[in-house]
Amino acid sequence: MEKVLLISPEKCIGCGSCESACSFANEGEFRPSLSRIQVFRFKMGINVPMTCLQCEDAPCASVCKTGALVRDDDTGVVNIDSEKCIGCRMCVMACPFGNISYSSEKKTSIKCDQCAGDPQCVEFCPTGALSYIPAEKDSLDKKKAFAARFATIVEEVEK
Amino acid sequence: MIEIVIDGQKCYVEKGITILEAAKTMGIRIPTKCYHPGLSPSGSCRLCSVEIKEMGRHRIVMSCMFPIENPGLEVITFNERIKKLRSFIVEMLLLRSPDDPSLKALAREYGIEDQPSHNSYTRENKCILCGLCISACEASGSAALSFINRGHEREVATPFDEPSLTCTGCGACAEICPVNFIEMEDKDGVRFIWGKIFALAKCRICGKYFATFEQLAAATGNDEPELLCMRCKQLEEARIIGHGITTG
Repeated sequence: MEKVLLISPEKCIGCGSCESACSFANEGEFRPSLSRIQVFRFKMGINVPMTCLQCEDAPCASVCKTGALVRDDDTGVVNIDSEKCIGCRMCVMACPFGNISYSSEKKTSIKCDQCAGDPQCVEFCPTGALSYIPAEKDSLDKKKAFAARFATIVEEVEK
Repeated sequence: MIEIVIDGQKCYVEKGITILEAAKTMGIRIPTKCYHPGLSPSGSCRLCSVEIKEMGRHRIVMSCMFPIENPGLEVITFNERIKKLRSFIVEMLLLRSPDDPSLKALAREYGIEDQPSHNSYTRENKCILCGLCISACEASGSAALSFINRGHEREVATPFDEPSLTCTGCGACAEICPVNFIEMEDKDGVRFIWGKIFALAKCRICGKYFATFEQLAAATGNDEPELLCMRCKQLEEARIIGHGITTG
């Protein structure tokens, strides 16, 4: 069953629990810089968590030449097979949102894989700013409405 | 699925996968130097040699490029013959790159001592001619590298040893090199690699030099891509979303 990780930035209090949970689950240390989800804190208490949106037509996966990045059609997640990564960093540049990074230490790109169906960021989010819900019509509509609002703002800003 | 025997254990594997892949699924480790799961195997280092028994005949094959096609195949991943063969290969590789940590570890494993005679003439790390950089460059679409010359003069080079026209300066070759032989240097907004000089793109927010223009154009398909590093791109997106919250 396809599920979506829904981000509601208006509910985010910027506590950074998601970053700690993510880095601990994936790297074994509490180091927000290693987290696959990043919280950006702005003035007036505005906090925006950013993580991979698992694009349907993922630019990172389409530029990957070795098949290290592949979208799983069942779960809707763009997975990375670190062993296949050759370190060309094309995915890092192709992602329009900056949601995939490269680790020189581990010699592989790193991105959110939704913890294989049990995202730890959602587990530890105290306010419900992050939720992991079935990709049904309602939740997809919410995500689409958010994207549409996002798109109109981008247009405004670009003007 | 095909039934085969690896080191005395029966197992069922998918037709067409290599012995190396089959051994890996069973938790059997075979040393490799030129193998990379994301690239097609070249069988150049010969370290992954294993013995197979097919129709009563024993022979040595490269496990990284031997597809399992017939049931009843028997594989022996380690015995005296294999040990002797691999020891010799490790010794030869160590001659080329005496200070490489992974080769040293292999040497210890195979009981080879770092003898002075191995490197009396030079201690400098040399290319072990595994060809991974060539495969990686080919996979990335640039195909700027290949082997030149024969015998002891064999080496990896760009065409005519001149700065390549197709190289995008992505650095995948340097990243994948198992002995860190390939030199890539970023200095003062310029990248040097394979005799070619690349101007680096500077992030318009943080000012960090983050990629070559060629690389950006190749990844985005845009000749005038936005000059933002990955972190600042994320920040910008977050700022736009944040702006959306305040304005409703």
